[in-house]
Amino acid sequence: MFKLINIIGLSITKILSEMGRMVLLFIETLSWVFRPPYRPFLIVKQLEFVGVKSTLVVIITGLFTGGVLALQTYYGFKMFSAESLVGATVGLSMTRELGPVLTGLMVTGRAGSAMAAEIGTMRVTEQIDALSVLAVNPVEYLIVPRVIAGVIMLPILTVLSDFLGIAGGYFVGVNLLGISSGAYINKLIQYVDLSDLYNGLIKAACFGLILAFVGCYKGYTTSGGAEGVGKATTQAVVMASAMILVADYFLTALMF
Amino acid sequence: MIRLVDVEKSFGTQKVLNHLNLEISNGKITVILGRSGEGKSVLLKHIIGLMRPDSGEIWIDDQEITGLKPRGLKEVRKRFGMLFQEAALFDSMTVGDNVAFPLREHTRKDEAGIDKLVSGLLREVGLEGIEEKMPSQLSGGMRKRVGLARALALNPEIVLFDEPTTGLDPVMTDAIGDLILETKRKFDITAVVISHDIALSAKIADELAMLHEGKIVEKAPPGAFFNSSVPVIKKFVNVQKFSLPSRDDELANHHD
Amino acid sequence: MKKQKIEKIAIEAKVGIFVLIGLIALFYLSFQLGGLGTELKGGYKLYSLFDSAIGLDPGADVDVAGVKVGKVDSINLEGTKARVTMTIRKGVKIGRDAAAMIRTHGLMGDKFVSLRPGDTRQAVLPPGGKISKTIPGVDLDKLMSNLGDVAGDLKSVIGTFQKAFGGEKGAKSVKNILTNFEQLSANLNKVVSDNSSRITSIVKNFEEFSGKLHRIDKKANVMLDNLVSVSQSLKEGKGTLGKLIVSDELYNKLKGAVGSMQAMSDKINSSKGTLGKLINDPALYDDAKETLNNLKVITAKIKAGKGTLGKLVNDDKLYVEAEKTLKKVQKGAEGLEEQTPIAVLSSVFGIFF
Repeated sequence: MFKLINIIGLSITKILSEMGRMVLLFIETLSWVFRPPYRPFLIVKQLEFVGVKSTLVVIITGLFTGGVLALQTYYGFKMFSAESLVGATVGLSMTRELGPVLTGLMVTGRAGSAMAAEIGTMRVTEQIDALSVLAVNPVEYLIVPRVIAGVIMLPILTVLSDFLGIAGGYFVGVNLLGISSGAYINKLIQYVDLSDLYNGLIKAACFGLILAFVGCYKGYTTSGGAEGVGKATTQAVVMASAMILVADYFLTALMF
Repeated sequence: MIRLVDVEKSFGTQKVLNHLNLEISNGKITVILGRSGEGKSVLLKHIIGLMRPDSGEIWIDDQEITGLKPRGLKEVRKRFGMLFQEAALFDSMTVGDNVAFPLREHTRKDEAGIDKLVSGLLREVGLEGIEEKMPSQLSGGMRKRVGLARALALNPEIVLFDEPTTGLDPVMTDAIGDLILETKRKFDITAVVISHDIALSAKIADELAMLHEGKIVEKAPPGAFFNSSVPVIKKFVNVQKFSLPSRDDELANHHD
Repeated sequence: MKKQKIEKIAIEAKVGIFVLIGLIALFYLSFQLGGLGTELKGGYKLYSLFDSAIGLDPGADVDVAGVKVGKVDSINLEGTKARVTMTIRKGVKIGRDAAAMIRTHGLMGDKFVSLRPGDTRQAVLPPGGKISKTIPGVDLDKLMSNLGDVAGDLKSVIGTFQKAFGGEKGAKSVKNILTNFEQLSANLNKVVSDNSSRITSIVKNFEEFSGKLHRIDKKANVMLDNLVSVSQSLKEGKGTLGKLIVSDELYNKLKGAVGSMQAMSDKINSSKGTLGKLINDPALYDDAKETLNNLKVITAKIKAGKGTLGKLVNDDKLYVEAEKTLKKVQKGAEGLEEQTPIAVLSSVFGIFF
């Protein structure tokens, strides 16, 4: 009995101290964002890694998500003879929800995990210590460019995803299911506001921050050799994905 | 002069450094011996400020570093160079970029000047013309040499060597020993070497210290050290003597 | 190091192209979705007070004749009414007599505000103006409950019918009614077909009649106009009749005259005075007869141009002089033009009766 309480207490302390470490690291990261040295090339490199290299996966998810949405909602709306609303549904779902969230999750899987693995390896091979010894702050050198890249690139990837989702929905709805193209486009324009798009992009920027920071945090705090790196990578993906979904709820509640 | 006064450090319930006192003289090679897991690396990381003691003081000349803010610590670190156990080369960069890294970070030299310095440093450690190679293409010994070149780039006053011969064959061990001696002579550095290798210690040490149970149990010049009556040292030296019976001649030669 | 530089430029170019594509997509989507949003930038605000703005949300469409012209900005409570503020696109004019109405897209669709812009040629609502006329929208709940009531009524009606026509007896009577009705319609049909020519002429007559009526109507219009001016004149006391009506003096004189006439006729009746005797004395009748005979002789003489009077009658010269005299009389009559309203009045009555 006493042992059980002890275990519970220990795990709570562990969770709390992890949260505390995360917050402290986050504050340190933020404090370096607006302080020199600025590292434009490192940022560009991360922009390429997070953004350009995620294009294909975002294209595929965007197109097919839009297509599936059109397909599914078509059969639902058909019962009410409201097939013309398929465009509006695809547009609203993509811009407000699926564009940002799916992009966030896909990029977490691709880039967030890679960040955790990369920084984790640097940690266990003492490369991070080496940076410190060479009088370079590892937070500023490793985490800040990645977080900036995440915040910048996720909205851009999300715009692509939104656009391709709508295009995929158009293809399925208009070309395969025979909804009139005017109805698809007009209802979409009628029901989807500019604020839907922009709020979705704000969400995406938050998701970019989450996935980059969690990936970096998990990598930065890796211990236990190669095995530890593997664990950190998995944890980064799980944690970032969960946090993205939780944050999505609160952001949605705040914005819409 | 490096001075550790009453330094304590615990990880959880395990006390790694226990009221440790140590003085390291300028311009000498001090080898700190100890068994694996005794906290030799921890001691080294305290000296360079990668870890902070729970209590106690650490003085670098007349500067106490345990209470320093990051900016002050950064300045202190520029006086240090450190060769990590596995060299800790940045594996995303070429050898040339690794060696150039501290120069790019902390000097205002142009690229041509840096190139010249880098090739000079690589020549010093016996590796000419490998600037374009990646660290993964190098052997363990070569990596350590590149690591040393990087550590020497900023002309440090103090160079720390963390287990410089671990994982190397005897020939390479001997070569690294020569390299340390040569470096000390050419660059006029204070060297602190962590090792459990009696052969290397005998070859290079001006001073020897024994770390046992969180304390320095003996610190003396090699002659006195190897004849010490402290049981741990006796055991430590004797075990290795059996494996290397020709040691006595070398010791005699070295301390002529 | 050169190699590194080339690599650096390549990465930067890739990122640049990527960001460019992203921005193009963003601008395209923004432009497409922005549509009305940007158009409304230069728009103006109007508001309206509704009894109920149930189901209406800020951001709902505002349309005129089914064309989207604006959006609902905010909905607040003002007193006990819902104040709905909307932004109307620049260039869309809403008249002062405009009416606003909350309507629904389809049965379950979004609520929106529909404006009837009224007469925009005259007074146009300024920015910040109020659309004072509101037409309450159809409340679906109310509609449903009304429908429920109707259904209940219908049920009871049907119940009554069922009672009335239920059973064999009822069916029989319904059958009877139907047969009667059939017979009736057959008869009617026969009557109509037998008398089709007559009916045609009746219709024709009626047509003519209505044509005439139409013409009369026109005349009546003119007449009414005249009547109006006549009565106007009368009111102002113009003309004889006018004076007649308005002036007390004349009335008193007339009264006096009538009184004298009464007295006179009384005297005549009682054979007083000359005229009385004249009328009531039989001896006088014979005299008069004799006189008339004499007159006959005289007129015969005159016809033959005998004597002075005869000449007077038969001479042309005299006729010309008489004509001159008449002309003078006419001139005098023109002075009496003020009497024309009476003539008009008589013509009015002539048409009516």
